[in-house]
Amino acid sequence: MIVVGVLLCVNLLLIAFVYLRRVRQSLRARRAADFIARFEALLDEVTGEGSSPELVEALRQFVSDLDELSRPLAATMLIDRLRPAAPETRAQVCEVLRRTGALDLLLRGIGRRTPWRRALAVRTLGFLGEEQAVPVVVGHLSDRNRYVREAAVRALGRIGDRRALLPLEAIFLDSERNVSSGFVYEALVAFGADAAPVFRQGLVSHDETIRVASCFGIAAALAPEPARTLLATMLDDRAASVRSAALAALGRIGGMEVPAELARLTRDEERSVRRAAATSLGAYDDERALETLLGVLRDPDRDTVIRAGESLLRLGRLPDVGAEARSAIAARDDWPLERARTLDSLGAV
Amino acid sequence: MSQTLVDLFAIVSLAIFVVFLIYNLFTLALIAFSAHEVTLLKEERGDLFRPTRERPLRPGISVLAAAYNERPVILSSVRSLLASDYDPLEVVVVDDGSTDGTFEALHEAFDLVPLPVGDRFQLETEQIEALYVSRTDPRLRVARKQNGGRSDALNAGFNLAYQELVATVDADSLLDRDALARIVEVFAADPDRVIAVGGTIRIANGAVIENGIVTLPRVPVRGTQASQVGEYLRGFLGARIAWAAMNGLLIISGAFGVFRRDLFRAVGGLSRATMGEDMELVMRMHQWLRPDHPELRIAFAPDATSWTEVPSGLGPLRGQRVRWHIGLLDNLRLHKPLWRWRYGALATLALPYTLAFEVIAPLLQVAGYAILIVLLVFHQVAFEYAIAFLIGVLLFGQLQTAGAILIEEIGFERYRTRDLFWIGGWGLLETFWYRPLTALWRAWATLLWLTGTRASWGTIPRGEALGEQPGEVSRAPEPAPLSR
Repeated sequence: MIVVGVLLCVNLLLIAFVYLRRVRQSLRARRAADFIARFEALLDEVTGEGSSPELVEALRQFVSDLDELSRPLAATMLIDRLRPAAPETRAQVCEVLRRTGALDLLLRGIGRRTPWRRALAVRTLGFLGEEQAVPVVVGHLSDRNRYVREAAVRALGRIGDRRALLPLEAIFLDSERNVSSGFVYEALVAFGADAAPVFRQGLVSHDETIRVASCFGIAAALAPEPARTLLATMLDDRAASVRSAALAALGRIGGMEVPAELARLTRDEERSVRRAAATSLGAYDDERALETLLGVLRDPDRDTVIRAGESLLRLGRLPDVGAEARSAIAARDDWPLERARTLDSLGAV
Repeated sequence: MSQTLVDLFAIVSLAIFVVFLIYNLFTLALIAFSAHEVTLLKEERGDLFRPTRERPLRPGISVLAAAYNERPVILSSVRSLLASDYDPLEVVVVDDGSTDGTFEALHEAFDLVPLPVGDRFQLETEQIEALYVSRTDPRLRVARKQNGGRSDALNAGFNLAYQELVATVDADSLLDRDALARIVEVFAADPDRVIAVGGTIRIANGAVIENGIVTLPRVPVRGTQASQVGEYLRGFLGARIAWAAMNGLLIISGAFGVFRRDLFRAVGGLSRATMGEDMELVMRMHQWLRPDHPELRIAFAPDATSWTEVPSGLGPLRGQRVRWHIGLLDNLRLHKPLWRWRYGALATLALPYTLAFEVIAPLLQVAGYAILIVLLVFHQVAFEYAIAFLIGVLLFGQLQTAGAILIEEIGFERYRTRDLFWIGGWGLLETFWYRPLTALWRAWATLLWLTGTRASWGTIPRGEALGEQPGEVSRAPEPAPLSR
């Protein structure tokens, strides 16, 4: 009977908990709907006409009334507005928020105990491009929560302040880093040529993932010619993923002359490398690219020949090799070419 | 009734009681663990979490859907897949020799044009006769092939796929718009170790569906379907979250799972040798990959949701459960090497749990019912004891359902308040009919398996739940085989 009694009590407690939580959620939803309507109207004014003293005063009052429920809603709505906004609009909004005390509130929010609230505050500051926040956000690159760390990395990339370059470099080159290298790569790329030395260092890292990200970083941060030279050295890397990344990066840069190593890798033992090589060749306005790709159509890997077909179609649009590529394609009936032509006619290549 | 027989029954009853108690305590522990995991996830992400759409170097996904006589539901399902907000995306529908006009419906709705099939396929399948691409949405590819079963069709879809990840879905499933983005979040969190991720399957029966998207989940009023809602919540939210956290997940549901394409190929794709091909693939991945790479993980994304239509009648439900159970038994037999320490929680917890409570317990449960009836007939049971035991069974069962509802409430809040009460209410009544029935079907499936009899596939009327839109299909839907 004791067991039955305990089970009954636990069941009733669970039911009561769920019911009361539902009641609370329903009340919060009503308040949230009201808040969203009021804040939308204010945001229209802030991003529109600018910062009249009346508007700043109204916002100051609004900010001082924010509570646990409305703060994250306000931050999320602000991010949604700022995401597509021009830099001038962001600066304008940032200035208004500074005068209303909202930025102080966000900076305080970074120190919250709940991880998602910290991450949201960091993210909002990133979208605002608030340079004052850089030291605090840098501090959260080693936050115990993954989402906060990721938000900090991305925020620093968005703000683009040079003070963040060194800490981001340290994370990028650290094999034991606890943020996805893709996010750090993206943040560093936002610094443009200033980040090139970091990627150069990354190319000689013993960590495969760092070398992969660095290949793309080099393509994004350096001018085509030096980038091509550096990437060509990576085509002999022992790791297939690095060779593939270097090929993909070379494909992003393109050029008038196919690097000899690139053509050679269409015969690599790893199919992932051959695929990357086939894709990359489509960006080179060079007769050798055409010859090599026609040979790749005999590759035993299906994905590789599909990519070769698509690349041949791309060559057909380039100024120098285009005419020759078009006539070569027209003279052949290989299925990858027919496939590429059909998809191209639908705008899918 | 002889005293010896009474004593024997008493011993068997005691054994059943002990198994029942261990089962409940273990299952409640799993639910508590899952609730803990969901609470942590919620603390990390908050209520307003949305998967990022700007992930750098984002992997592409090829969604593979096998369709065999799915005409009543195929258009809703394909629209749902194409409505996903994930990019790069490719949807490959494989018409596995349908005879009900599935392909014709797709052809008409999506304006298909031929694409060369090509060659150099990586997995052996029945011949792919033709391949098409949609003129209205070139992300959609439709292949026609000779009938070879679900595994064969998905393997054929794999051969045609192009992206880095492959997702397998049922042709009667509807994905949430952000389901793929949410599942990729799990890959992104641990890119070097996660090799496959399963999503949550929820029940579409009764839900409001607009343009292939479930806009308002509702729990059906009918007991057969409502009980399955509770059962799915217990299975996916109450158990799989915990098993995944221990890297002891034995199954990724065929209705929604995402795999690394290179590894899907490396292990040879889906097997045609078992009725539980989705479970078999996951067990094979554990068995083949983890001895050399113990760090690899098979994970679960509880917030990535696929909606599926479940049987609304007892006949089709029985067919489905018998088939599932035979698949389970096949897989336990096929993958005996997984019972080794090196597989960690999979070998020490997940497999013993599955064997004890999903294979043996239903047999004991059926035996228990039989003994109880005999003892009642011969007045050998104390009435108070029987009532107390019944209430105990009922409350333990209800506690599992309430625990699953709690997880749903903490982490996801997909249902209305009244729906939660429906789930709870039917959960209470389950003890009297649904659970005994499923135990009986499992016992029957065990008998069929032991005697080497393969279950027939059964039929299920399609399209009731997935809400085919008027005017999209000109011919009336016909009953079709559930799946192969």
